[in-house]
Amino acid sequence: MAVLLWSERDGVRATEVRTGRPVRLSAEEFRPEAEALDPKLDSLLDDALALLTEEAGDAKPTPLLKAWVLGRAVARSKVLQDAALRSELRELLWQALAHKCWYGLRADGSQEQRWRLLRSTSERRVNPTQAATNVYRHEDFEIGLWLQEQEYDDAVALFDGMMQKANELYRRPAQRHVNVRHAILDWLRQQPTHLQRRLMPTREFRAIPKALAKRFPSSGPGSARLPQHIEEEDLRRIVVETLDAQFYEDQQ
Amino acid sequence: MSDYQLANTFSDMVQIVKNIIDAYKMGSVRALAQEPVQNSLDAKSHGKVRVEYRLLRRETDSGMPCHILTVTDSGTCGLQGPLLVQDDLASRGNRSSEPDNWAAFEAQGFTKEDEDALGSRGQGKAAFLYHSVVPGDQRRMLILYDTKLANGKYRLGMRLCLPGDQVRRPPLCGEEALRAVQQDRYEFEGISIPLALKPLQQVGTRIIMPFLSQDALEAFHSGELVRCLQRCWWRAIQTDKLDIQVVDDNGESIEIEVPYWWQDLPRRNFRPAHVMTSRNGNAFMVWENERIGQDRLTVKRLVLLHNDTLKEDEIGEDPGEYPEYAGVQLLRKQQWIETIGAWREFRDVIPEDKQAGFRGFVEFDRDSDRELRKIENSQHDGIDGRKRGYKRAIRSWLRKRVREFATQMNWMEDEQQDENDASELEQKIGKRIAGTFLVPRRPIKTNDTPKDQNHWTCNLELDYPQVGTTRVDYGQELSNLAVRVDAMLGIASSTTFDLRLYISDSTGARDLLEIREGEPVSSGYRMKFGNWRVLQGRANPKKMQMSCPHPGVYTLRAEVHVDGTLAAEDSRRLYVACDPPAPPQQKPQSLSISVVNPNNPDERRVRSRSGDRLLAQISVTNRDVGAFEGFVFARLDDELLVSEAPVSLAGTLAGDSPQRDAAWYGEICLVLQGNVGLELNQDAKLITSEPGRVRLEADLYAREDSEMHHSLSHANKDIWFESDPGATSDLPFLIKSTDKHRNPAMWWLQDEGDTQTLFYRKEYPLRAALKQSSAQVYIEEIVFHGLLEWAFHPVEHGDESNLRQMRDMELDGINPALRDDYQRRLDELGSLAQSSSSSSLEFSQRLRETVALMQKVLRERVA
Repeated sequence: MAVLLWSERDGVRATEVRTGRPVRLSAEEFRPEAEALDPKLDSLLDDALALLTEEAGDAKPTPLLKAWVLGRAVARSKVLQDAALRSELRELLWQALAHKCWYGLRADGSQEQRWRLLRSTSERRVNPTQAATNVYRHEDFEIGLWLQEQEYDDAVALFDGMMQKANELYRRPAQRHVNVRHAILDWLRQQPTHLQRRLMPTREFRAIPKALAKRFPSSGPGSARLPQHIEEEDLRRIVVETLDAQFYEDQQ
Repeated sequence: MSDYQLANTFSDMVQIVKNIIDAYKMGSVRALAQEPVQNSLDAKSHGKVRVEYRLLRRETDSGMPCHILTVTDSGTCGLQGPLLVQDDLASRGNRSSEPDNWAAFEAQGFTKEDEDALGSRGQGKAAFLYHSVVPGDQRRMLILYDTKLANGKYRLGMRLCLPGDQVRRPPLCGEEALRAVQQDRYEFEGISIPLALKPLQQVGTRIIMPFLSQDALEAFHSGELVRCLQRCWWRAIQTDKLDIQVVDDNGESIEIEVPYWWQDLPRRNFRPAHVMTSRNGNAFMVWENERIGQDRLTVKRLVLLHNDTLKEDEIGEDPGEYPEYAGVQLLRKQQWIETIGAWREFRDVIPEDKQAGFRGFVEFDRDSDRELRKIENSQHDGIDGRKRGYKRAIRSWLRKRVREFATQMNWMEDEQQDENDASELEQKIGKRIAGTFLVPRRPIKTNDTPKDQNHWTCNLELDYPQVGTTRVDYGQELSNLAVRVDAMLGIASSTTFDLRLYISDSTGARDLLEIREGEPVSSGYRMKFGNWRVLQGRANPKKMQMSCPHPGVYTLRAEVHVDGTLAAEDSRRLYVACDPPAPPQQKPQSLSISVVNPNNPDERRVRSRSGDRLLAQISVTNRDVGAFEGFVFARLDDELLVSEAPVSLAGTLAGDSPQRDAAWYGEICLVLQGNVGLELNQDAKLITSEPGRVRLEADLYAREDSEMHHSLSHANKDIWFESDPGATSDLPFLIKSTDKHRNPAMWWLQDEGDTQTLFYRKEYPLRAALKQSSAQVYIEEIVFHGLLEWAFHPVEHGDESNLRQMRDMELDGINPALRDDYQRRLDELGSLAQSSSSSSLEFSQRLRETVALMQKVLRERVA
């Protein structure tokens, strides 16, 4: 299967087919399948936009919210399970979505300016003449998909609505399971206000994944057992023990 | 009441100071540039810290010209705190707290409670004292220090090393101190000190070196001090945490600036993995927030830069030995610690003509800075490579990044064009060596073993005369010698077998001790051979004696022959009148993983299509004398594969083949998303994955470690799922020849992402001296070394997968004694690789012997 990458230059709209599969002459061989997928991506972005409006209200959406709504919309759409994307790398889907957000173009060629609201704030730093793919790092989509495993309120409570803090946890593959986030959030909620406040800045919050990395390293010795291989209750206990040792021994 | 008192012993402070400063790799000027500023930053109060080095011309009381150097800081809290005496400090556990700056400065070698502090007490004072020597025959050192505190107090202290360490008690305070610093001369212990200084106007500290040493004066005038200050502190200056000013004796001042090549440094990495160009034409790359050293360190930022117009700018005479800018500067808390040199570390990727213009720096996050502080030397000019493996992790990560940079800069182009893929001869050699040393003797056991074939096994059992070792002295007996033979017989089974018992030495010469006939029975057949005595001289096997004429390693071997062919065998080692190598003290247990795709069993790299059934086995080896009980945990990608599979192994006698057993064996099947519903063996583990490299990871834990806190060994194996692993070879690495590569070695094994390549130099003098017809031997030698490096590199982490692949090879048609010797040497090397007590020299020696043996094995195979 393949995806369509939309672009627009000097008012001229164009689409390019991209696929990771072997092609005989060009990726154009897969255009019918790519065109069949495109309306599904439109629905996905509409859904993400509706979620964004629902969660943000009149407030300015944060990068974390944008990532979360896109992730949730991708999960709800089940597009990843679609036969269209079988044997393809997810990167292609992220490319297609990034282009659609950037140019605001639907499958029928009509404009949907509101999709631009879904773009990451980093767009300000991007030269408008550069490719749309610069607007989103593919990792932003992956983080969104990961974030949405939690309800939005929980994600905000855990990361104080800050994408940087989410990144701190996400960049440790061994700690990506949702149960780890549940356990950390539970632990955080039980802490006195002064400690919660102390852990608010990203640089302080970083101590949490760092402490947990000693129990769940991403590679090397000790990395065979991941949090998802442990009963949820046991995992909570390990997280509490590890974080208590980190923050209360520090104080002593 | 006790009848004695504790008295302080005399210490020669002059010598102590000399020893401290002489340990600075770059010399005493670096100490003068680094330590005072470090002290000031540690005493920071608010805003930016400012440090001024001021040189003043004065005269001694005899009218000789002399120079005073003052180092004054502001933006600090000054030398605050009470005037503590020894007992006060002792009562605080010899640790000073933040407000005790005065007391800590007057003490020597006391630590500070703040772990974030840059310095450790003692180095700073030594840097000042070293450069302030009172004129005269006797070597005396003198410094003065005045401080103005936020509460308006003013103090002046003095320290004199005669060589005993002495400070003036009490210090001069208030008006008295102000008068003293302004006096033309101040008399102290018979020394007339030229001062005539202005009192401090701002809160802070001033250190006065009244008799500046000639070395320091020259460094001041030659600009070496300025250059040293820039090297040490440019990053703190760039981030607005610090200002340093140097004022000479003519009143001309120089502000220490950020080196011009770092002046337009990007703050963020907008385009990772791409070379960008700065305003002043520097090509640079930035990496941020990368985790290294098994996730224990976080690199906050790495910047690599090149500009052809940059000239080499080193103070040291030998930048190859101790580089400053020529390489990647390692910073801790924005202070330069050391430089990973371009010439020494990266010359294989940075062309010689590009090295002068190459610069880099790497800085870490706060937690990592703390970790690095623990392994930094007290001179703050190096990190200890032996501790924690951080230095190695940093170096290896830097190598990868510098390589990326070099590739982006097209520096590798010539080199890559020069790289020649394996020639026909090399392919032939590779095939032959792989066919000899890497073909497994027994395939992983499978339920599909044909039912119409006989399968024989034999186990040689015996009791050694000495406890815990395979050593046997002359006259001693091997007791309860027995051979157990088991057979799974197919339809066309033979009913009888010959059992032969041999003793052989390391040269392969062997004596037949006994031959017996037997019949297989379903419950197994155990032949007893009784007790055998080891003699040095003539021995009579009929009297159960065996001859081992020279002290050394011997092998006792049992062979089962059916219809004239060897069906099964087993052997045990004897170290006759000599000690076997000691078992490893560290990591005596190791893991190995074997994975085979029955659809292409001969492939070195395991490839799998969606739905392929792969056979996998995780084995544990115990080299310890004691028995081992533990369990294995394994995952494939993120999916749990093995949960706490128990393993129980007997101890290994010193010198014996290590005990080994499979902790888990099973079938695994990788499938693409949506491709489930395949017909599979019931026991096969079905795992859904995306195309790409999938990694099987296993950890071994001791039984008592039920919480899995400490992994004893870790192993991993890559499976290429629905993807191409790239170029493949019969060997586990590709062979390429090159000449333009900057690595001057005869050969080297290089990790290139997903593949390993063995490079060798075509024009290496030895190769060049050989005739074309001799090239084969040269390549064979290199390949053997490469194979052993490939096998032993992961053993360091307890991963024996590659080693087992080499040890358990078929070696069909080889003299069994030669094979035993080869396996024994691999076992011994395995022990040495996992033992911290063994020297690398011993390992290299054994490695060369093993290579020689491999040559012999290959010759015999070919013959």
